[in-house]
Formats: sequence, C-alpha cells, structure tokens
Amino acid sequence: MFQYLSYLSVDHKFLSFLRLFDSIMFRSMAAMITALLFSLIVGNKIIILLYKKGMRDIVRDYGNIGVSDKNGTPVMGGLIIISSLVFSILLWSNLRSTFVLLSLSAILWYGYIGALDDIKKVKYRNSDKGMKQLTKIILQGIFALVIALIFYLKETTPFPDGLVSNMTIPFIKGNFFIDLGWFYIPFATFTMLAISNAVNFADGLDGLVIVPSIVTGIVYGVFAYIIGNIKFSEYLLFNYTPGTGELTIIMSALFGAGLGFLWYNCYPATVFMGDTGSMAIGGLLGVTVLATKQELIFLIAGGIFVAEAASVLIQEKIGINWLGKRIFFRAPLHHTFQFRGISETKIVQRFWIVSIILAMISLISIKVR
Amino acid sequence: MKYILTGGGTGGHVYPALAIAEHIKEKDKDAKFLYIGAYGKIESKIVPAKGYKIKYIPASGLPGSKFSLQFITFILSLFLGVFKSCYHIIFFRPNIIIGTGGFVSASPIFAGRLLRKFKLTKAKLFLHEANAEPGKMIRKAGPMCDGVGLSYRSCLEYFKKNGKYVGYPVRDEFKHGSRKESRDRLGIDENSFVVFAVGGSQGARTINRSIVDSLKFIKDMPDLKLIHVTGKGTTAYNGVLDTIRRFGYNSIDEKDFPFYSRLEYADNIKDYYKAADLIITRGGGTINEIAVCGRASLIIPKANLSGDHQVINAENIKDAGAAEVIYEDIIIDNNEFAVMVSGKKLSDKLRELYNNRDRILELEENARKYIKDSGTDKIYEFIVQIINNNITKDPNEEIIEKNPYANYGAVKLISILSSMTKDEVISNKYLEYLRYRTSHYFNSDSWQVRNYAVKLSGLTYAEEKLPFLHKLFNDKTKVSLIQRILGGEYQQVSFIRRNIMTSYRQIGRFNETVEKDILNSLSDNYFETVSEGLLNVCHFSENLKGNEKIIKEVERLLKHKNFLIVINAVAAYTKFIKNINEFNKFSHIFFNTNNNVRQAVIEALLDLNHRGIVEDKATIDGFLHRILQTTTGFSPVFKFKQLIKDFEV
Repeated sequence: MFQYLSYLSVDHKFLSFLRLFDSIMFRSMAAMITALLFSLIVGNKIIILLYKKGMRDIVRDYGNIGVSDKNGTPVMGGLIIISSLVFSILLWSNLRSTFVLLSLSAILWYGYIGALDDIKKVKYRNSDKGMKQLTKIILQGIFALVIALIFYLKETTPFPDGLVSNMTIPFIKGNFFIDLGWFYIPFATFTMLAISNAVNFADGLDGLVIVPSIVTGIVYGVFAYIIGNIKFSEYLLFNYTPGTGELTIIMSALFGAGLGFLWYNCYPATVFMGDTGSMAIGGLLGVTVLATKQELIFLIAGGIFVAEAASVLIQEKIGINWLGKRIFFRAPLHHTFQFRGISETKIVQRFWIVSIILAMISLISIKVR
Repeated sequence: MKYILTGGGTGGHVYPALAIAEHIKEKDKDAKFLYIGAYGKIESKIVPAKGYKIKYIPASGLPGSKFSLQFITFILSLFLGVFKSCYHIIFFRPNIIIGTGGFVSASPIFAGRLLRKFKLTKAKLFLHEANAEPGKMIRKAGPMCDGVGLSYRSCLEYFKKNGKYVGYPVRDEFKHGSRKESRDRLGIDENSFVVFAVGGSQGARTINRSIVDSLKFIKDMPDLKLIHVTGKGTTAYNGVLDTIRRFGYNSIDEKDFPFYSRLEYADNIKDYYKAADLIITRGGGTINEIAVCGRASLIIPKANLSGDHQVINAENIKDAGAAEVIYEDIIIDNNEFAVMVSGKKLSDKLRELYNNRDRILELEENARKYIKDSGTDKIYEFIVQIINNNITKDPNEEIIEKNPYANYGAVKLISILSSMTKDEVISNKYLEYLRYRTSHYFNSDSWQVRNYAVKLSGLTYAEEKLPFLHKLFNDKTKVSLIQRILGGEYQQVSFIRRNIMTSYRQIGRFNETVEKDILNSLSDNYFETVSEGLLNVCHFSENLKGNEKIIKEVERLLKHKNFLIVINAVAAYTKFIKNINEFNKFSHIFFNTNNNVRQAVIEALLDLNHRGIVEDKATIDGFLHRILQTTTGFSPVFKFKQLIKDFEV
C-alpha cells in the first residue's frame, strides 16, 4: 500500500524522498520489521485466545521421552504467522503484482486447509483423526493446478515470452535450462504439492520447522531480488523476470513473522504452529519456488524438508505397508534421532545448523554456473 | 387373509418362511399366499414343490465396494425389484407382507412402504430375523416395518422400537414323538448312546472331516453309535467323495468301525433327531429344531460369516445351557494351515459327554426350557397383533448381554486387548472366542492379517498357538524380486518375525521349539527381530542358562553396529555373568558415541550389584571411571505439569 506514496514523488519535487517507497530494499526491511513487531504484539493474545477456544494439542505417543509432556499446548499458532504475514504484505508490497496476489492466496488457502485439519484433530481428541489424506491432497491439488495453469497460459502468465515452461538446472555452466513444454503443468502442480506437504511433515519439534523455513525464505528472497533486477540478472546470467522483486519483500516478511513466532515457539514451546502454519508456509514457499523458476535448488535449500518427507514416505509406503519392516529406525527423520536418545533441543539446533549449511550451498549456485 | 411371503437366497431364509406359512394355514383356513423370490435361487425349487404360488423379481447382493459394476447392477435390480413388487402388491392386495431376510426380501418391503405412503395398499410389514446378528438387509429395512420378529434375544438391541423376541419358526412336526418310537422306526438299539452328526443339506467339510479324524480315538467306547450324514454336497464341494478320501488320508478302513454308519442324506431327519442322544451340527437354524426336539447338541459354528452370526447363535444357546460349542480352529493339516476341528478335540468332547450322562439330561432339559414360549405360535400371535394394530410388548423382555467383540475388526481387538492386563484377559468370559478369532487370521494370504494373528496370539496368551508361531517363524518362502531388491526377504515379513518373538515373551511358555527360534532370531537380518530375540533371552534367562550357543551369539551381538541390538545384548549378557571379570567384555563400548548404550552398561553394573556379584565400592568406581559420562540426552522436568500431576484425586 505504501508503494503508492512513491507516485507522489513524480509530480511534487518536494516530496521526492517518497521515492524511497519504491525501493525494494527499503520495503523489504520495513516489511520484516512490521511482521516481526506485529507477531510479537499479537502473539500472546492469539495464544490466550486459542487456549480459551480449546485448541490444544494431543500429541501422538511415539514412545519417546519428553513428547508426552507437551500435551495440551495450544495448537494452530500458525495464525500468528499468517496474520502478521498478511498484514505486512498488504502494507508494503505492490498489490497489483500477480506474484503478490498468488502468494497471498496461497497463504490463505493452504492455511485454511491446515486450520480445518487442526480443528478436526482437536475435535476428535486424536492426532490421527484429522482430515483424510485424500481430501487434503485434492484440496491442495486444486490450488496447485490453478497456479500451474496461471503460470502456463498465455493470457495470465506473469513471465516474459519464452520463459514460461523453463526449468533451470543449477551448477551447470552458462544459463542452462530445459523447456518442459506442456509438461510444465504437471511438473508445477507436483512441485507445489510436494513442497507444501514436505514442510508439513517436518513439523514435530519446537522450532524445527520455522527456522529452516526462514532460511529457505532468505535463499529465495535473494534469488527473487536478482531475477527481478535487470542489471543483476544480466550480470549473473539469470533470466530477467519483471516483478519478482516483490517476492523479496514477502520473503522478508516471512523472516520477520517467523522470528516473531519463534519467540513463542522456542523450546519449551508456548504454542505450536500446527498444520495451519506449516501448510501456509509450505504454500508460500511453493509459489515462490515456482515464480523464481529455481525448482531444483529447493532440493538443497529445503533439504531438511525433503529429507523429512522422503523418510516418511519411504518408511510408510514402502517399509511398513508393503515390505513389512522398518527401513529407518523411526520416521520422520527427527524421530530417529530422538529414538537414539539425543535430546530435543540438540536435534533442533543441529537441524538449524544443517539448514544454514544447505542454504549457503544453494547460494553458491548464484555464482557457480 | 392374504399373505405375501418373501425371502430367499439360502435355505436359511426360505425354510422359516415356509414354516410360518404352514402354521398360518393351520390357524387360518382361508389363507391365501403369494411367494416373491428370485429366479434360479433355492426358493425356485423348494417353494413350488410345496404348492405355493411364486412370482419372481430380480435381486442381487450388496457388494462390498460402492465403486464397482456389481453396485450398479445392485441398484438397478433393486429398482426393478421394487417396481415389480409394487405390481404384485397392488394386484394381490395382501393384508401383510412377511419377509424372512435375504436380498430378495428388500424390494417387497420397500415397495410396501412406498405404496402405503400413497395409500395404494393397506398391507402391514413384518420381518423375521433367524440369526442372532441381523443381516445387512434386515438392518436397513427393519426400522420401516410394523414389527420385527427375532429368534434370539441378543438381537433386540438392534430393533429397540419394533423388535420382539418370538423365536425361530420350527415346523410343527418336530414337537411330537418320543425317542423310543423313533429308535424303533430306525432299528436302533434302545440302550446305545447315539451320536448324530449332520452338516446341513449341503454338508459341511469341517464336520465331515473331523468326524472321520475322530473315529480312531473313540473306538473303545462300548454301545456308542455314530450316524454321520455327509450331505449331497454342492458343485464346489462333494461331501461323499471328500469323506471317503478322508478315510484314505487317515489310512483307516470304514469297515473297522462297526459303530459308524454313513448316510448321504437323511429323509426323515426328525426321527434321527429324536433318536439321538447328542447331535453334532452347524450353528444355523437347525440348532432351534434340535432344541424343539429337546435334544442335546454339540455345535461347531461356521466361522467368518457376516457378523460371525453362527458363532453368536451358538453362544446364545450355550449361554442358556442348552448346548456345547466347539469353535473351528486353525490346525496344521498336511503341513498347511487349515480351518477345522481336530479329531482329537472332537473326540475328547464326545468322551466327556459320553461319560457324563447327567450333563446330557441337563442339556435336554435346558433345551426344552429355552424353546418354550417361542416358535410358530408366538410368531402367528405377533402377526395377528400387527394386522389388528394392537401390538403388546412383552413385560419381562430384556436385552441380554452379548458378545461385545463379534463386531470388531482385528485392529480394534488388538488395541482393546493391549490395554487390558493379563488377569483381565485370562478371566475374560469371551477368551475362547478371542482365541478362535485369532486362529482365523493365520490362514490369510496378506501378511498384514497374519501379523494380526501373531499379535493376538500373544495378547490372548494362547499357548496352543505356539506350533503355528513356530511354523510361521521358520517359513522362509521368498517374496517377489522387486520386493527383494527394495529390501524385503520372506513372505513372513520382518514385522511378523519380530512380533512372533514378542508373542513368545507374552505367552511366557518355554519349550524346545521356542529355544530353537530364539537362537535363530539372534542371527536374523532384521534389527528389531534380533532385539526382540535378545529381550526373550533376558526373559527366559533361567531356562537358557546352560545353552552355550545362545550365550556365544549374544556375545557376538555385543559388537553389532546397531545401538538397539547392543543395548539389549548388554542386558541379556549380564544375565549370564557369574564373575565380575566378565564385565570387561563390555569394555569396547565404554566410549560408545551413543549415550543410551553407555547407560545400558551402567544399568548392567547396577544389576550385578543388586545380584551381589560385585559389592565393593572400589571395583564399581573403577568401572564407572572408565565409562564416558557426558550425555546427549536428558529428560526435562516441567515443574508446572509435575505440580498438576501431584494432585490426588
């Protein structure tokens, strides 16, 4: 919204300082601070509200030490993240950009699915009695397909000609990409679905999801800034896509909102984000990944999420349901470490370290190409 | 009065309808009947032969899946059936429609309801349920009827509003006659103990085979007479041939057993019932006929039917003290799992009853008591009440306690049983039923189901299941190539092998085969099997004291890569330590990176201390100083929650 102020600087010389509101750097910083402050102020009120409404967690019993002690912590803290993200995005980004609108709708849609799931789980007093997997996948899939179509169809696509169905291959010399053609639609749908679910799988320990999300957000914020800037993209051999700079602002807002949430979520947690938060973050990251066309980099930048999701799928679908054995000690991955007797805080902080290392590796791909 | 009768599919639905009709004919001289059945089913043979007019409507069973072709044909035939029934009802103008179950009876009932809504007929609706667990169709159609007649009291809970216990419609001829008359007619000696075995008109494989198997065990009983009706059989099963083959399988000759006589079919079945002292039968409607005859029965209910209704039928009669029940069981027959009753088990039961004639008399007495005040009279009374619109409730009608486990699936059973203590399970009234349920999961093609069997064996502490567990554990049939590439091994998957080990521990019975399996489990490829095996070594350590092979295996496992196995191996090996110097066997794990492993070592030392093997402080301190004592794990204490827990309520 504040971006509109910069229009005044064109007509009125004495208001030229309002040009500041056109600068992506300035708006990013402002968005981050807004989101952070908003979540800090609103956080406690939301937590008390959730507690009063009876939105309290029932933890599955994995036979792990410490898990049972978290019974009754308010869940659905994702509302803190969503509200501060939306507030900050509305204030600081260009609301006429397709990317911003898609990001906003992704946050709300996926947050809504997650909230339905959370409410169901609380209602039946059982973490396994949430929404049916199929319903969830269908609801997520509809949105993913819509996003894929919007990006692909000529009438609606925000990408310049010739870039629409590209997939960038990182770490290969020059600006190397493959044109997927119509196959882009299933590819984009799958990417969107996979990312939103992967973030959901990782949710399990205090602070485990939020920090890797922030870190991945930073990586994609940087990518978005470069791709959206005509000079940088030319210099660093990226395909220039106008308008992606707005995503940097959104990623900064995610950084702020995430930190604000971590304030309450750090061990021992006062509130859990629940599916509401993890889905919303997953949806937002999915849109950003597709918009920057850096899908493959997510395998590294979001390596934590990928590993968690892969371990769950391999364990459940291949191991337990088909072969009749456990392939890993426990799944998702963090439970393996808990099962080995490593304390929760230690696991979480090690995951943070790993996610930062992975982020650095993925940032190297900016120059190593 | 005009009556429409409907019901079919199996004899169990047709015969009650005919019995009701016969009784009505007797009471109501100008009764007119119309039978509505499905073409090509059993009713199209029996009903016209008895001289009733029959009309056919299309009918097909409700398929399990709602997304199949059969479901579409089901819906179509239901619509057509209702349409045709409307036609018959309008033109026949019945006073009442009597349904006895089976899918064909759904259409006339729905049609009657529909026509009544439009005031096109005045017909009342009556359903009769012959089993203790109502079928799918009756459950749906029952609530829209004017009355539902029930054969078993346990069924009342399904039809609280319009249900009434009326009993099973047994043909009136069964009520008359004495044992002596019948024996004279059949030429049976008056003093002999007559056992009559019959598995229904089609024959029952379990009964046929078990009877043949049991012969060699009951050879020595004087004045026993065993009459065995094999049944004519169906296209899928030939009772006569199968029985003769069973003699060959047992390598015995029929002629060696003079007390045994085999019939293909008994025409005058009532005489055989009356002549018998004990009747071995299935758990269908025949058990009511036997009760009307006032004879003792030994029921072998057919397993795995919908809602286990034969089992529930049998249990109802057993609870009234009017019958004995043997459950079909899984046995290893010809080196494969088979569902039947072993000859030994059957002969033991026979001998018990043979030696205890008072029990037979008691059963006969209770059978008469059970059937008193029920049957066709009561049904006719109820029908008349419905037609005249003055239904009276039985004042002393009460819902009796019913087997609560019959409607649960395996997963639910496992979760219920695992929340019960051993004493609660052992003293449970339905323990035998639970064990019987367990048996039937062994025979499945899907490993998930076999896994349920293994888990339930442990949870029901069923010692008699040990041979089956042993057989499963040593079955090394390989899985498909794709599964092997991904890490699968045998048909009896890793979870089954692991759970067999757990079940051995729960059952708590030690014998040679268990010992052998424990030894084999220690060299298993799957880590959880090994670790469960090690827990078994701990559990049975007293019995395993002298087994050098196992101790050597455990010692080898102390160097295993997997921390879980090492932890359990430490605990297991500690059980065999007699001298503190042997504690040095653990020295290679004093600096293990996993703190749980090091913790296990300290627990082992503590165990030795409690057992009095190491007592002086210097030695203990010496070991403790050599163990790395940092930790990667700690259990947090939430004071807040702790305080809440401290309240005594």
